[in-house]
Amino acid sequence: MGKRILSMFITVAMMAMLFAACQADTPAAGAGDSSAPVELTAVFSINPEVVIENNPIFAIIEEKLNIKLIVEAPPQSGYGERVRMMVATGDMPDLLHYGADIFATQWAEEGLLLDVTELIANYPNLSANVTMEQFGDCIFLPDGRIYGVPRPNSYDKWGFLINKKWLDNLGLEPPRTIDEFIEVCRAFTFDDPTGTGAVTFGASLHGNQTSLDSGIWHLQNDFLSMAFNISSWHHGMPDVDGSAQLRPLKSGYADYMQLVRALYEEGIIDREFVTHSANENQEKFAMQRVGIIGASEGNYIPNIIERFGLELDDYIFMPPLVRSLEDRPQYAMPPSCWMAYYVNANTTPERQDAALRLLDFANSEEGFVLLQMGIQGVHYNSYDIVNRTVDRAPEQLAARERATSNNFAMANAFEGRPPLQGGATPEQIAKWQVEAGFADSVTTKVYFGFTKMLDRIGVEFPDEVMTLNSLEVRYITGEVQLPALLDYISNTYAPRTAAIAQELADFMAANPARFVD
Amino acid sequence: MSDISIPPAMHKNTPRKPRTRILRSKGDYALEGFCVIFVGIFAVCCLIPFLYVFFVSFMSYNEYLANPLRIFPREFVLQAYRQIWGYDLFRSGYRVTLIITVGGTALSVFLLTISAYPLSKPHLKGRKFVMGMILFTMFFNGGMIPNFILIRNLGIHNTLWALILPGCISAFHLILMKNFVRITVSESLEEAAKIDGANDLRILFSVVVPLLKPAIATMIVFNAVHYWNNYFSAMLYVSSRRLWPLMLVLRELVVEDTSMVSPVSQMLTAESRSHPFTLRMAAIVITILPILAIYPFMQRYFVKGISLGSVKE
Amino acid sequence: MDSVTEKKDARNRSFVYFWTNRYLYLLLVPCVVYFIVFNYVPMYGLVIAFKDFRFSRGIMGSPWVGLDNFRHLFGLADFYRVFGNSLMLSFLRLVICFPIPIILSLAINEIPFLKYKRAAQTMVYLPYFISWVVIGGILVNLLSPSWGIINLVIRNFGGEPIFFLGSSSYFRGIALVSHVWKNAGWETIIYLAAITSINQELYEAATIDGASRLQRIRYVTLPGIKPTIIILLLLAIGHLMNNGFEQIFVIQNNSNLQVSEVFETYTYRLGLVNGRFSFAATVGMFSSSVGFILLLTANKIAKLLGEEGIF
Repeated sequence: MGKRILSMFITVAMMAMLFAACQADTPAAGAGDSSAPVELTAVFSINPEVVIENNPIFAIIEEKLNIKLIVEAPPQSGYGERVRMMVATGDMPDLLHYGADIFATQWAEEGLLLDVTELIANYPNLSANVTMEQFGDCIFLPDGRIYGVPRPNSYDKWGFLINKKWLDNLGLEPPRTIDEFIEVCRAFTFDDPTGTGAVTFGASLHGNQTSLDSGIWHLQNDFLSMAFNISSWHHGMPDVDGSAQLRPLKSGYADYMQLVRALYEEGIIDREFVTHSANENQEKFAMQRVGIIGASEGNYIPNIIERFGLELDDYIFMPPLVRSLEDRPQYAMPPSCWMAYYVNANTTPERQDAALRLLDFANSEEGFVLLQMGIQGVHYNSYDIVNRTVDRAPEQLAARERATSNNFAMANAFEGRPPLQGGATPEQIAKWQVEAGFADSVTTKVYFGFTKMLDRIGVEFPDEVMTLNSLEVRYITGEVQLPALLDYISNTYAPRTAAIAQELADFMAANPARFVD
Repeated sequence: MSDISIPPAMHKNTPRKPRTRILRSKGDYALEGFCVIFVGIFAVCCLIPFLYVFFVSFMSYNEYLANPLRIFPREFVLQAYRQIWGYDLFRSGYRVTLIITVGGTALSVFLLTISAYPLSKPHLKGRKFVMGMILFTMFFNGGMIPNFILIRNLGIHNTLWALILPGCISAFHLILMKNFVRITVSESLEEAAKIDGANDLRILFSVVVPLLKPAIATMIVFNAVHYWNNYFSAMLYVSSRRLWPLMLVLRELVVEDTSMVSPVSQMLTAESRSHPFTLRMAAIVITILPILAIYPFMQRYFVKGISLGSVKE
Repeated sequence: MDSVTEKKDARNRSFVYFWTNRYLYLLLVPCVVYFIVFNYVPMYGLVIAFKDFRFSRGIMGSPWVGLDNFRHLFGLADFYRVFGNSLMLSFLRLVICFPIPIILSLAINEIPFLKYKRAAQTMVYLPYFISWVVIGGILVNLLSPSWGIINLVIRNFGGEPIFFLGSSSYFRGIALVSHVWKNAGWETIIYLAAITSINQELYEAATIDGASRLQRIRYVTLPGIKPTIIILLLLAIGHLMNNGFEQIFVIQNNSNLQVSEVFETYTYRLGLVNGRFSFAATVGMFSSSVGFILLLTANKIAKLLGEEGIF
């Protein structure tokens, strides 16, 4: 008996030893002469579906730019952690994709990131496709230098989607003002819009719980808060009088909070939004539990209607709400970047140049189409860059998923617009053009710059921010009364953040917001 | 409660009286009944959500959206499973996970057994020092950066060893195992073997190990599950996607875990990388089924019948 | 062991001792080497708690800041509330969640039908494999005030629906119940293995002496698994500072933050925004030290009470 178990142990232990043979080899670094391609080590976030080995896009890049990409793609679920550890252990690659956050600031401070301020001019596509406002995301230090190349994104315009079938069942019109919105919410909640007696609510909100400066605030709620000149995400949105204020000090803040509390109290919005952590509101909308959610003009068709398999004609996109019909709806239009690319300051000039050439190519029309759409004939039949539509078969789309992804493309917008707009089919595009066009014609677009100094509020006053979040939510749920919330803001939050608020005011005075009808 | 009162003298080995008829008292029946019902209710509470997960994984996403509370699907569809099976990484991940689970578990259980035996000897000098040293590591560790540097310096970065060795001997498991050896093995048994001229190695493998079957089965389950579920080592110590274990692959492909990631990762995954609920449920089923299949073979060592049978009627 | 009558060379004596036990020491070698390499070699990383970590200089090259990180930690306005929340929750866990697997194991063990017993034991450990993120999702569906089953029942009985997840008064209850649901079945494996390891003769003897089932539990089973219970209890006491990040994070939201914020979630939030790379290590060192001291104290007490303790 004992012998059998012993021999079993030994066999299995030997088996374990065999795995040593499975060692993966690391690519040998070859000393390159002038004609051999420049080797460029890069860490990118690439979707797991993409096959990195023998990737056809990498091959084209090597052929066109004479750059041999050696890519590491860490898991996206632990991307930030992994990248920070690589930098901390001295494993920084030549080119790095990472957010423009507090850690990138430290790297810039410590001289790990290449200062590209003067270099940008040598790469024409880069300076053409990434605006100076967007480069502002990589100005980390008071020296005003640029330490990275942002990944440009298109402007998002946040309005709302409404269930048209419910409107028709109850004989209602889509709301334009807050008052109409309240009426529609009431009807959606109490008048059985589905005709089945199911439990329904007027609207649901996004209730992001993860980051510091959020809680009830999220882009998706802009359709409601912009009526009060409050962008739920960007503090740079000027107040009614044009002044720059931190959000809790804006003139419409108390009104907005009271509105949300009233909606909550009456139970005509989905109360559970305070426990949402992501896009639960969208799923509830798809489940026919709520009739209104925030949606982005550019992608509500693929992201909501397509994704949840909804009927195109059952839903309407509407511009943000206003307080009275004399007001114009407003879209908040801050510059948008999805993280940035950083070049290693301590690698050879040849590799630094290669990294910037790669980014330059990705921001050219040719590179943008290649990285976003793939290879013509293989991944799509034709692409119309003017209308941002593509003709491709499902198999081609599947092949494209294995070759490239939006996350890999180093530019997510060309000339300020996303690679695809509206939808995939002619019906979708036609409907989108009508709805987005109408929304666009009635709204004012408010453009303003990055407000990097506000990141410091979370760094310097984490507890104050969390206390405010908690008070805000508990005010809405009825646990805390308005004076307590406002007292905290005027007696604690405002005085402590006064210096940063002043910086914000100075910045906005130097870079005033632009209003475009 | 019981109608039989007996002095608690049963620690001593009273001589066997065969042929005694065992009568279960009313209290015994009541106790058994209570246990059957209590465990039954608990088991059902555990099973129902799992059944929900199981059945939803066979639903089409539209059916789920139409009625999220429905437990039994109107029609069974394999859409979610087909989608997962279609990913290249899924298959390579399955292979990696099988290798590290089998190899890692064998290695761990072997090491745990040979280490726990000497540590269970109360007389062994230096034992306390080693135990203290092990216990200390349950509370203090160097953190991610030195661990990463260690893996790199050992030359096992980006190999399967990087997925097997870290966490191979868990302090918690070692303490448990040592305790099992203590409570199972009596000194007298070993002394008898010693008199027969066996050395400590022989005693361990021919006397102690056979007695430790329940403990070894437990350790196999614990370690296998540890290796099966571990994605963290791969996240840090492996750079090639071909070495990603199944759990990491599923996490990447299927789980839209926006709540667990930093804002940076949230931005990364924002692009249409959100997956239907049904796909996530399928991922859970895929994760659990192999364990469920192996489990009974281990379970028979620690869930046994009651030893009433030894007393004849 | 043997009485020493003559004065012998101490070195010689210890060599003899070592030689007699050479196989035992040999068996220990892999384990000791493993812990030295994989746990003690990287241990230098602990100093990061006393440093201002610079990415360009690594752990050893970063400048020392003494107790600055600790001062920052203790100076945070919310620190003491979070500390209290953590201790409160893990204390409740110790009192409520710790005994349940023991009771469950005893109950499973007393089931007379082997098949039922095995099937039930398999079912109760299933939830262990469902991740907290998914359990969080299930909880939201289950407890939803508008569409959840529990509130459906409450409404059918004429009650007012309760917003369980949106109120701080239910947070601890939800945390405890979901913890038991996920882990109790899994933990029965340890106790069942311990019960199986009990010398069967003791049961036979007890049966012959006419002991009832309850008495057998009391006088044979419980004493048999007592060492296991004590070890797990000591470890649980050592981990009083830990609540586990994932569980708390999925049921936490701004409406229950007042009671739900514990060390793990608090430092996670801070770590993401304040860029103090050393901070997590500082908090870790603080809670580990407290935990380690608690464990040593509890171990000492156990020994004073005549138990074996952990070491």
